[in-house]
Amino acid sequence: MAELTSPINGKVWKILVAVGDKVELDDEMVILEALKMETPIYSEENGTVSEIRVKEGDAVNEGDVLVVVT
Amino acid sequence: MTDWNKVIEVFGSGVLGVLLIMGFLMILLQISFKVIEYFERCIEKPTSEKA
Amino acid sequence: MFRILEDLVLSSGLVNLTPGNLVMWLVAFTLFYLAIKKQYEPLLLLPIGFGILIVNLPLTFLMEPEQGLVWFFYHYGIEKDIIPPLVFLGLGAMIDFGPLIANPKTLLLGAGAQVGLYVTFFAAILLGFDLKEAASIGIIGGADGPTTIYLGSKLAPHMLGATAVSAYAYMALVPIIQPPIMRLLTTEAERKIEMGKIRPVSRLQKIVFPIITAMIVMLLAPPSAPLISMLMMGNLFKESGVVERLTNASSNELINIVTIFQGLAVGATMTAAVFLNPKVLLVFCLGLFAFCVSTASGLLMAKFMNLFLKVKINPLIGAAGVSAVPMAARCVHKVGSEANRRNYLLMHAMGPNVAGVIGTVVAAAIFLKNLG
Repeated sequence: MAELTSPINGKVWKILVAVGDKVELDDEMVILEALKMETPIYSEENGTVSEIRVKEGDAVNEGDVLVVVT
Repeated sequence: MTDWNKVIEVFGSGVLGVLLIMGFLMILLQISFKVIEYFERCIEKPTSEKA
Repeated sequence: MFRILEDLVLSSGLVNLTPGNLVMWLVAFTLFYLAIKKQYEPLLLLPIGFGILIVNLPLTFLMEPEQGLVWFFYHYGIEKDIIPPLVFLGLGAMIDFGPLIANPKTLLLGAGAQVGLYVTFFAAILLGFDLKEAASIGIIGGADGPTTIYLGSKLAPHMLGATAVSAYAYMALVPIIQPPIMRLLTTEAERKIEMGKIRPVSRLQKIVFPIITAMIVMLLAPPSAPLISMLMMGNLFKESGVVERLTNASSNELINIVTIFQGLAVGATMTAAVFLNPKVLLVFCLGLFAFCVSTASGLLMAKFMNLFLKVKINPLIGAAGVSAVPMAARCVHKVGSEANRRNYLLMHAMGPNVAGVIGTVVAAAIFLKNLG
């Protein structure tokens, strides 16, 4: 199990995966928005999305968990 | 016509001046942040309001 | 009947139009196009463009000393140095210096990028500008509008329009100007360097920062006082958290109001007689040169610092020392993530970016001390 954390402070712009999705290394998982720029966050391993801890529009801080992959 | 001594002076004092002032500011800020961190670690009470 | 018509025509601006006025109309229309259609810094270019248009309508005397409406804006706002410090008050209330506080070393990067200003100053002198003109051209490389206007109005008011417009125009073009230089001066491996997490910053540190910075910078470079004092007071408002009303007033209403008059007054300095001069083209070329050299000197400064640092920084963030906030930081982030998709440099680049604002003010202060 691995937690995908946010590398920056910003807002959740789009969530591209759903619970139960199979993801592979480097898949785009979430797009964050900070300083009017979209920043895609990529998966760090292969697995299945077991939990999504944020929703679109949420403000996130650096280090917050976005998605849990098992 | 162009006062080259003045040009060199402005150029040199500018480049050095900016680096020195910013460097000095960096050192003082680093020291004060260290001090603040030290105090904040000492006063681990929930009400550490000073400013 | 005929007499009345003749009078009307002769007293109108039409017969007094010069070809130069028509060219300036085109300049104004170009700025309108860039502002409205391309959205390049519309908050600034729109009032500037309108200022250009209205002073190039003859017989309106808007810029006539002691009588014209816009002249009063210019005289009290720009010549007497009131507006640029007020813009800085608003900026201070908006800028988060957190990334700089987390990593004070980025102050050196903000200083490194200013070396480009002085290189441009040197180049401008070689091209035949006098010292004061060269200084007000060099400062364009700081990518800081209010500072450019502040220094320009003191040293070379006849070129104020050109220097201000080129500063704002190139700021909007940062995403095009910077990446090629960034790729040229860094290796793929350097661009891939990840910088990890940003050190958390306490509230007390954020409050102390504007106070210490204001004291040190003003003690060491007194001519910086009008700009740096307002910048830091605005930031103290913001970080203190107890005067939200003042923070909001500075960062919203006040800065918006003075931006209108700043743009209009700067635009109004550009009459055909002043602006249509081959030197103006040179100013625009040197302005671009200034942006390029400042970017390069920021990058080189970062590489130089890496020689001594145990934990290497990504040299790309040096380019953000050009203080176009936040365009330069965004640009760094983009180029960094192209080399390594897990590279999130945005917040790290904000450090040198805001340090660049301070650096540009210091550079302007040193110019003023030597030439003012």
